Amino acid sequence: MPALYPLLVGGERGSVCALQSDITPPGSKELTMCHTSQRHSIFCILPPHILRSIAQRGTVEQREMATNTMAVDATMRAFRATARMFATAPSVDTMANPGERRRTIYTANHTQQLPGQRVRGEGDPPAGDVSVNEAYDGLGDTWDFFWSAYGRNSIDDEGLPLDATVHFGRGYNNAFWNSQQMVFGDGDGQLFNRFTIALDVIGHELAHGVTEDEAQLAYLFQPGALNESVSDVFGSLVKQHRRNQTANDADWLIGEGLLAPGVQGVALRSMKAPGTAYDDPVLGKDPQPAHLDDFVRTYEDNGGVHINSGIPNHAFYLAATRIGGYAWEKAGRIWYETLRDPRLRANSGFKRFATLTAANAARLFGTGGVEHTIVVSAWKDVGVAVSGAPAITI
Amino acid sequence: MQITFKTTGGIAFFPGLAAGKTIDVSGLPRERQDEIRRLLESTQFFDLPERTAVKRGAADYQTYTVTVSDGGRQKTVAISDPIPPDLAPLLELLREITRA
Repeated sequence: MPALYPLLVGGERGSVCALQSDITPPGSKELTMCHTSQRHSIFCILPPHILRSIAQRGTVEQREMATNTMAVDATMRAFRATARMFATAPSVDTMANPGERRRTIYTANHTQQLPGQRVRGEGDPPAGDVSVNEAYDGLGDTWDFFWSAYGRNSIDDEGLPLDATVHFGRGYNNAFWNSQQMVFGDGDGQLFNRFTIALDVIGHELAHGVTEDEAQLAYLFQPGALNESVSDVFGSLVKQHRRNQTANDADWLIGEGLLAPGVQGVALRSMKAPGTAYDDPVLGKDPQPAHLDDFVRTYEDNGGVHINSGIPNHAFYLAATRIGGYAWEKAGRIWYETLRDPRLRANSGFKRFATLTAANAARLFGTGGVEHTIVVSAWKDVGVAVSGAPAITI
Repeated sequence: MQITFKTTGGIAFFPGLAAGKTIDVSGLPRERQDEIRRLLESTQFFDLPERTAVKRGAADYQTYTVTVSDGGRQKTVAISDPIPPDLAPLLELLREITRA
């Protein structure tokens, strides 16, 4: 008895509908056929192992159609696997019942105890402390950005409360994400100012939470550099969104204002010109490459996660400025959908990420369209060749 | 006794800060030397695990690498943010000495 398999039929323009059909169960040597009016009867969703077999051993025509089918199949499996992929644009319903910002700011009072003492909750009036207020406003701007640009309700898209601690440590020259909350140091005043001063840094830290929720990119080597780059991309977009800047008006600096007076530099990083953000006797020179040819192999910095992020950062900058307009609308959406794509794995490197941005550009804005073409060329210009989109195995 | 103190990681990688600094403890004022010896003893430095755990999903944390060479003994420990409270005074002191 042939088993019943769910069947998806591809139309001429890629439209799909779900049917059920009896097709030959796995293991049969007979070529499987679908009982539809489709021009190519093989153009239906068969179990992937059968399609792979046809792709390897069928006639030229069979092989071509099996390959095409596998490509459509991969997309549809991705859709089924993550129904949330359909929920990216805010619908009328969700806009009528918006998510809520739930921010809490704590102070560590110059210790390293987390989360510390609560100083400002959601809706409370401003505190008499600039770091507290900057953190509160920055979390609000970041939440607003993800909500209005992508309909995302907080870090986990389920309204996770946003917590941040300021005045962490004494003269602490850093900000970090501890997997649950944001943490900001005051800076030592000699090299760095307070770390709440830069909105993109606040967005950067929160975006680490989004990445962990969606893709769990490992914080090591190329996946780690992608993790860092995604945080810079969305950190920068939070700032551009707040300032209502187009891609070509934005400065594409990360952490402007963080370097203390007297330090020779303008920011922590530049997505527009990686490697040029600072050149200082104490800090050294910005080590970021803009091209894969200059990839830095190191065991420091978790395998250069803050160094080689310059390469995907620059690819995003190129894509966004070539597409034009507000960067979050197209380039940002392509990157956001890539982050949510089930084909992106915890150990994905630049090549897979690049390939998936191209696949998502094609899915969102049309295969061979301007956005798709620009994304492919942006990666090519940083030395990353885009290959065919990987299939999904579930 | 020699101590090497190096900070890596954080929100950006600064080549100038990553080089690390070596402290020749015998060249320090007497009270500083005593303070260091007291902290190495109270933290049981030579019996510490080689690195502290980092939570999955955490990012931009700094890691402080401390190498102590004393007589025939040498030990390297990597401590990541947030610093465990019992190790904070030692790292604070090393940071202060190397900053000067």
